[in-house]
Amino acid sequence: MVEKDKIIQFENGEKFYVLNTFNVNDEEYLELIKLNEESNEIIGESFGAKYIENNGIIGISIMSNLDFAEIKQ
Amino acid sequence: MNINELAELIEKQKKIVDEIQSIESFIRLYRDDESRNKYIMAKEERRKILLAENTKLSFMIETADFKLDGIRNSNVSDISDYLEYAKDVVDLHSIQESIDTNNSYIMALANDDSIKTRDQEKNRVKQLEQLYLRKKEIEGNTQKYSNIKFGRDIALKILQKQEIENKIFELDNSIGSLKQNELDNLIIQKKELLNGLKECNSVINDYFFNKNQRKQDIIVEMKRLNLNSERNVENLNLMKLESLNNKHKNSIDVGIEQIANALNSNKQQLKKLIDEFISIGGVLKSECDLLQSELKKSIDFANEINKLKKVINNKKEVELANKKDIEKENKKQINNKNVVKQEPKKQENTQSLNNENEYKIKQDLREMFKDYTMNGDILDNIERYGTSYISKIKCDPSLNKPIQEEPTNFLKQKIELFKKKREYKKLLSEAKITKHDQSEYYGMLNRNIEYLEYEIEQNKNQKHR
Repeated sequence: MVEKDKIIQFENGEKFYVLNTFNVNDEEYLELIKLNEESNEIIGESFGAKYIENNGIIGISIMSNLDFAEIKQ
Repeated sequence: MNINELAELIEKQKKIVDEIQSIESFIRLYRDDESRNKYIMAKEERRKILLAENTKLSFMIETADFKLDGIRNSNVSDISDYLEYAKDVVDLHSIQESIDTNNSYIMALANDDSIKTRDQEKNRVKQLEQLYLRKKEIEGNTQKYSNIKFGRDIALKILQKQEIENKIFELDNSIGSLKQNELDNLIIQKKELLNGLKECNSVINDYFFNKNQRKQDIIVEMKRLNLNSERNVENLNLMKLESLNNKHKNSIDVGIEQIANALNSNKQQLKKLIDEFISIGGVLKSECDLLQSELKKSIDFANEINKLKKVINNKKEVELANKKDIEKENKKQINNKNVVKQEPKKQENTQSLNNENEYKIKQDLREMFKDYTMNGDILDNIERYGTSYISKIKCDPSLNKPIQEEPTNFLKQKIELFKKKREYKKLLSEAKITKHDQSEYYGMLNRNIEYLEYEIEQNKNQKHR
């Protein structure tokens, strides 16, 4: 579970700002903005992702860089 | 040797074994009878004599001086009645002979005056009376066979024929297939068959040994190919991740091509192994199913790679088109600085095009994985969550929860600006205004954003001081 308006980091070093969280059919979706790993500058558009907790793996399923609005639909 | 030839060989062997068993059983039955050959020969000789006799009798009967048609057309349909009458005829002849003899004696005795001869004459008369009674009885029976009239010799022959036929019947039953020639032939045949059997066994044993050996080799090879395929799938998964990240496209394409070739090679090898496996016969269903399954998996992987390549090519084409658009736009900007105001519109159009193409790619990917099931975490997740890849979040090991940082105020302001920018864009896209007005508003928006960004930067700098 991640919270809105927080910064998370992937194991490969990439950083993201959690712009929004949504619950759709008991599944958690996130709207993320990519940040510069060093300066925390915004370096990309927002995109949709799905939060996954499965067998001890906590991860983000990136939805092909698509707009988050599409996921909400 | 193919499977059909092997089947024929086995069938032939089975027939040989059956026949040998039959012969051995027959031989075993007569093995201990030393006079068997003599017995058989005697029986055979006897049979020949009887047959000849039978033929002769048949001829005689057919040509006999009596109404054979009458016999055939008589009311005597039952052979037992026919034979009984034949006996009566024979008896009648003998009785008549006795009567005649007795009459002769009686006549002779009548001319003899001695007492002794008188007693003899009485006995003779008594006998004669008995004979007449029997004759009368037989003649009475004859009424029953009114149409059957033949002489004593013929009646005897009829009886003999019946007797001979009975003996032939018995002999046929006892001889059966006990003909010496046949038996000899069977013994020779048995030897030939045993030789053939030995040769068959040798060939079959060698064949099965080689086949089992080859089968083991095939299984080992199949396992090796299976491992190879699994490694290829792992590589494929990595390629997918990278391809969706749009990184190192050239190397990805090369990698995918290599995987495709490897899987295709595996597929071909498996196909050959399966063909060989089937051709050597004795295919175990489970092994064959396993091979077929591996082949199918291999084909599926190959298909998947083809689809993936198609998707990536589409994506590359889109990016190339976008790149060209951007370059074109940059050139326009350089050539005509007055059209700067139109830039946001162009960018928006390009972005829209990107989104549209991205959406199409996503649909393609969804379709691609729609019915696909495969082991493996990543592919499992792809199937479960759609067109995506998984990135692990840094977690606190003790809590097993994502590590989350608080953003700085500066970042929060930038985020707010980001939101506003997006909101304005949305409002503009929804507003029913002319393209010209849209361009105007975009210009205003950009200026406002630039102003806000300037303010934020100023605040940041002040705080730093």
